[in-house]
Amino acid sequence: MNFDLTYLLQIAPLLLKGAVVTVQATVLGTLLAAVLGLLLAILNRSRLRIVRYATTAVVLFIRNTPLLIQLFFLFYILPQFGIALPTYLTGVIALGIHYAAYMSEVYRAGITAVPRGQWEAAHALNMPRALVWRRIILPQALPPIIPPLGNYAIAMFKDTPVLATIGILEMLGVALAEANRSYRYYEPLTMVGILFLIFSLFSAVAVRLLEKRYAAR
Amino acid sequence: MTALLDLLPQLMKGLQTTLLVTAFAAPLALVMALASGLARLSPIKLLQWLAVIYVELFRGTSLLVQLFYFFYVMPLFGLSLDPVTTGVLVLALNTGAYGSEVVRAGIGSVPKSQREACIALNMSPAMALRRVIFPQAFVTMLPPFGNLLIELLKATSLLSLITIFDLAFAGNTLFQTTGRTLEIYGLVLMIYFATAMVLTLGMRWLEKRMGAGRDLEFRP
Amino acid sequence: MLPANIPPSPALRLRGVSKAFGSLTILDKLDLDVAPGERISIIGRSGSGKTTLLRVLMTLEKLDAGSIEVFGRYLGQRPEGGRLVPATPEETRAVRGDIGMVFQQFNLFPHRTAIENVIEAPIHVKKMGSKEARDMGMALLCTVGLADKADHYPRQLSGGQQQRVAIARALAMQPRIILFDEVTSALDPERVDEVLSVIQGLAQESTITMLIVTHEMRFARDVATRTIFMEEGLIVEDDAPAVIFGKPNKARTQSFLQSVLGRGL
Repeated sequence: MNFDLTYLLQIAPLLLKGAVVTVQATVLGTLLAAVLGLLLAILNRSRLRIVRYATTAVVLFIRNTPLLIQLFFLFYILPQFGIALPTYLTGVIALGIHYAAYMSEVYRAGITAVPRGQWEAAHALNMPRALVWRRIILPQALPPIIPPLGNYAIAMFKDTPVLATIGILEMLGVALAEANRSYRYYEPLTMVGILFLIFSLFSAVAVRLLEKRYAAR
Repeated sequence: MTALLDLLPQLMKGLQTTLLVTAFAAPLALVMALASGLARLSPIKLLQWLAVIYVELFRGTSLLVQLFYFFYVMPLFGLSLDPVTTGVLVLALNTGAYGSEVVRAGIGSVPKSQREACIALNMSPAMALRRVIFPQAFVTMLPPFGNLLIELLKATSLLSLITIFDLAFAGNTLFQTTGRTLEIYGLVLMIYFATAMVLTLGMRWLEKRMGAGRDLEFRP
Repeated sequence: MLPANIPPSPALRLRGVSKAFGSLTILDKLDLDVAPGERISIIGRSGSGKTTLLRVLMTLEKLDAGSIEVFGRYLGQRPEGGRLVPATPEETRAVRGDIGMVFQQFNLFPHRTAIENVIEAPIHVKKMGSKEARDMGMALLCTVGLADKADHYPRQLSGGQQQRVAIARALAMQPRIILFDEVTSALDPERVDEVLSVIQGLAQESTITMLIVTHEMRFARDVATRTIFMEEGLIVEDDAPAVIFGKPNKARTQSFLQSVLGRGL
């Protein structure tokens, strides 16, 4: 089996376009997951028991069901309720929701690590709860959890090929479409694998830098 | 309610495959995790390198890409396996690479003083690993292994994309023939969830049983 | 039977033993001879190199320079062409078998019961039969007064009890030399005596060679046949306990003892 470099160069622009979509989806998905995850983590500290139970249940359910089915669920069901989103956005939302569940656990660990005395001191200063969160708890809870959040961003990156199943042309989607057209799987799929490997190695280095930076605090 | 019930037989058939694939891939992944995790701690440089390459390759690329690679490209090199075998193999290799990290961290979590006690009792390094370090490390590996098992179960859904009739595939087929999206995908999610919960409980039970002597309260 | 004209080899013979961590010298070209059956207490401030001395004897630390002989055999080294070269792990283990050690933090195996801790190495290192090992293990637990705790896990035992199991575990390997590294430092004060009396009993009933690093000065005096005072990686004074604790010759020994003892033992 010969690796056809000419053919690869021919499809390279397409694949790189797909890579841009992959990276974009990861960045948007990560932002969404980071916000939703934080929201879930804060709700999980609510004074209302029902809210705490509900968030725990939601996180448990999302973490214990496959992303692929969640994606199909959103893709086919949202339109039934009159919510017609672009396919790309549906994909980003699915990634965001799935990883929000994971990230909420990370946030929770970070928040739990802030000593109880900090809450009590803030309480003694008569600070309102929202202010305590914003000025006292989160500034202490967030820095140490940035590296683990980064790891989940990397995990999400490696899950983006699932978006190909609803027709989003990210790296794998492009490669499969190309393979379907030309009946050549070897070059496109190998290239996608190599691109993933390159991105992963770089992102691993990035997370290690984050760890160094935030471990010092 | 009856509408839901006639969906079940098909889905259950799919679930059987999902469970079967999980049951074959999990032990294989454990073997890969232990082999590569221990190889990375080995004094033999070649073993270390092989293990690092394996782990980086399978952790650094996407599972779905690996699956398609083994399904479409490997046959071109003469490695023609049926879809289920391909699926089991790729899932095991992928999960094993993640498990390798768990093994390494678990071994690293055993205090250095335990190794020193082994030296003072004149044990060889291999014996110390086998009889003292590993049994303690394994207990700490169980919870992350449990998480990986759930990840593996969820990952089996990707096998539907290489024509394997698993739970996800059954759901897709039913959806195409009946068009009842909400019930079908809702039900599929519920079944995955229930299965994951059963596996989680099983792992908890195992952790409890293996934890003998570790978490016992101090009783003078 | 050795011919009478060859003197028995010393239990330990250290020549020029040196160890540094980075720029910090811990052992400074140490020489030491220990005859079989001697019980040596080693005293000195923390950081004086006492513990490191025991750790190099147990091969837990590598030597930077110098040599150690255990009953006439080089430890961790082997003479070759007039020089000493690193020994193979198997050679090192063969010599190391003569030495046992009891640690400050006990280092019992948490996943094994008391009796299992004691018989683990005899069965798997010395290939002793499990019945025989068990009988010996129970006898040793009896000696340290813990026969009734044989099936307890370390977590279920007090610090003093754990340390006594650790002593039994070291003895089960039948070492000819046993090293005690500050074995009471991690214990609650009321648990110290039970451990010291076990070592005292051992001193009276056996001829095993002992090296005892301790901060318990009365014990250091009473248990030993010889006492060494160390400072900055050097042996400052090496004499009978009565001399060291009664009328030390070196001013540095004197000032150390004054600082730790105040008015007396």
